[in-house]
Amino acid sequence: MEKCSLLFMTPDKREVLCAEARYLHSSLFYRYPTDNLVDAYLRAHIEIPDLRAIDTRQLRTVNLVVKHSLDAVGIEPWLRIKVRRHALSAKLLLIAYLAECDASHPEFMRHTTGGWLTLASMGNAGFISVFRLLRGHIQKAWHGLV
Amino acid sequence: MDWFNFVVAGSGPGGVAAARRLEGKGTCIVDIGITPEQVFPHASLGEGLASGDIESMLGSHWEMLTNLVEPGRVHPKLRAPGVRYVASGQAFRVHDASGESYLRGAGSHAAGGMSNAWGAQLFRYNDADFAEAGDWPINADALETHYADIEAHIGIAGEVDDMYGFLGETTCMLPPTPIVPAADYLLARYRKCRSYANLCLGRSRLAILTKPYRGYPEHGFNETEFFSTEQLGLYTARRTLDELRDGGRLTYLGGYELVAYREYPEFVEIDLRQCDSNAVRMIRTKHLLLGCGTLQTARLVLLNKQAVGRSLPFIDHPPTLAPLFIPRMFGTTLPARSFPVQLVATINLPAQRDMISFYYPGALLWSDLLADMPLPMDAALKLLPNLLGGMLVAQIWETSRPALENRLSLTTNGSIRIDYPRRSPYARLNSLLTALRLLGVYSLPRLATLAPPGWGFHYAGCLPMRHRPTSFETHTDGRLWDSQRVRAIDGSVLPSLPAKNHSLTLMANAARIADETLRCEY
Repeated sequence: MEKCSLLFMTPDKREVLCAEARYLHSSLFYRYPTDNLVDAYLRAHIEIPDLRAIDTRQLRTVNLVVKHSLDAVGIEPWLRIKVRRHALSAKLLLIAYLAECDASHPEFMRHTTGGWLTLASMGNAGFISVFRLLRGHIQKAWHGLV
Repeated sequence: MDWFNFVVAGSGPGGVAAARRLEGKGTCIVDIGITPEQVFPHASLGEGLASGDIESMLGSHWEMLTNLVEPGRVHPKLRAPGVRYVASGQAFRVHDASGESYLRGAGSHAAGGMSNAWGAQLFRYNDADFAEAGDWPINADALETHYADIEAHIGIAGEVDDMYGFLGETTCMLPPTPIVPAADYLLARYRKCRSYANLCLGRSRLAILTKPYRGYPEHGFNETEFFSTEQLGLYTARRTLDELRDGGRLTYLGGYELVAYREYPEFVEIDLRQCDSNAVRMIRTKHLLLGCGTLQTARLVLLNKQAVGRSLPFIDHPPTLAPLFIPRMFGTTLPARSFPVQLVATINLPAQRDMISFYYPGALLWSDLLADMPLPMDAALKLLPNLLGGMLVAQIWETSRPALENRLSLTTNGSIRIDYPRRSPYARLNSLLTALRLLGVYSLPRLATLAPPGWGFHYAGCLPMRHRPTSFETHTDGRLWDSQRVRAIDGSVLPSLPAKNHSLTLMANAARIADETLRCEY
């Protein structure tokens, strides 16, 4: 992947995408990404044509989510109802793919807990889901996100 | 000018099966024969993920993210740099009832054809299959010796169990492939409950070597199916092609595309375009066997007859996909090695033929699954490691017959157009889910999706075999309706598709047609 292609990105655009990468990563993983992951996120936006051609209304939604620190992960499932792959879904997925392949995210380690810990872990995930979906629904409606 | 007794066009399963019968008899294989330019650099999926090398996993041009914004643009198995070459052939579009395109695809110009990306399930058809699907002018006896010969050539892993009769009475099988704990649980539950299970379940029949065979090593079950076609121990037609080439008993013209043919009373003249230089070379043969794949063979025949306005019947096996959950197996240790195909089943109801393959999604990246889970992605990610141990995916095929509305034709610029307005959802889904619930396996009908036509790669029916063929049909010996020396030997001649994978039958039929060609006295 050509690193010099980043030079052809305007500073404003680069700043927006860096902020996106940091915010979306922290939404998913509760911590900021490494510089390498941010770099890969930027390169993907240069080299994947689909990411350069996203609908402007959907991009506005992404910008609002990042600008107002809304619950990206809680809002995203609601956006999927009308648009199978909304820009926010695509960008969160991009973060997920990069994280899965950079070998530094234990969330992708293929290990299990077993027994009661499994139930507790799944129950916890379910509880988090309900909370984030509720919050996401409210924020989506409040900010008029489409 | 080069002269051959037999020319086989294409090196996919049909082409190599026919060529095996014709080697040593003045035979030439003509093949574009693309091979992978990039090779997956890791021995296993686990090793790749542990390497931290994003480029080797996602592709230097982000190939694995092709479906990021447009889901389903490319079949998940054809995204990776090491696999994309398989679908580098003639492009086609599939259109729905309103004329909207709902799938773009391509045939294969690869050495070994689409078998490079197949799931390796190889089943026999029997007379009950032919009767159920209809329109077959041959019976199972005609294919029996070829089934046995090809199975011995390939090496088939399987087991004599409740599915043995349904999948065909293959003998001399290698030990069955290992299955994941979730599949093992399902099989054990079935064996306890089989008397009232309303389902017949067993091991699949796979072209996988579970021990060294004919000098080939066993398969490593390294979960690289979505990243590489270069898998030791997994049969593809390219293995047979390599044997034929190395054996020196036929001529291989690789890097050539068959662009036209002309039949004369004593021979067939063929125009070959060299892919590198575009130079055209002419050869002659007594008999031409077209095995370029259903789409590409149909296209060649239509172009030969200058029948651009003509449409041909087109059949596919669009599968229904349904995630299945086995709560008793949630949280179990995920296997380090696995193969996608686990088990097969059929609903044991009278006069109803369908086949359910049970897959374990271990070879997929977890990110491939996140967007399909109706949850916030962080919760989905927390659930996945515990869920996957108890998760399988059902891929359901039903008998597929020609429908008047489902047609293949050529556009004015010679590209392939498929209209497939007639497709029905799987009518027995509720029965299947009820049967599975008894075995501790759960799902919901609303989670099932019907794949679009063209997605399943089981293409057939464009030049169907008949006892008395009319225009754009074929004789039972493969000859085109108005031809003495030109035959079709791939899926294009299969008149309908029983619920089972057609790959082994396609190969056996190609071998049968090759034998018919040998018996020709001209």
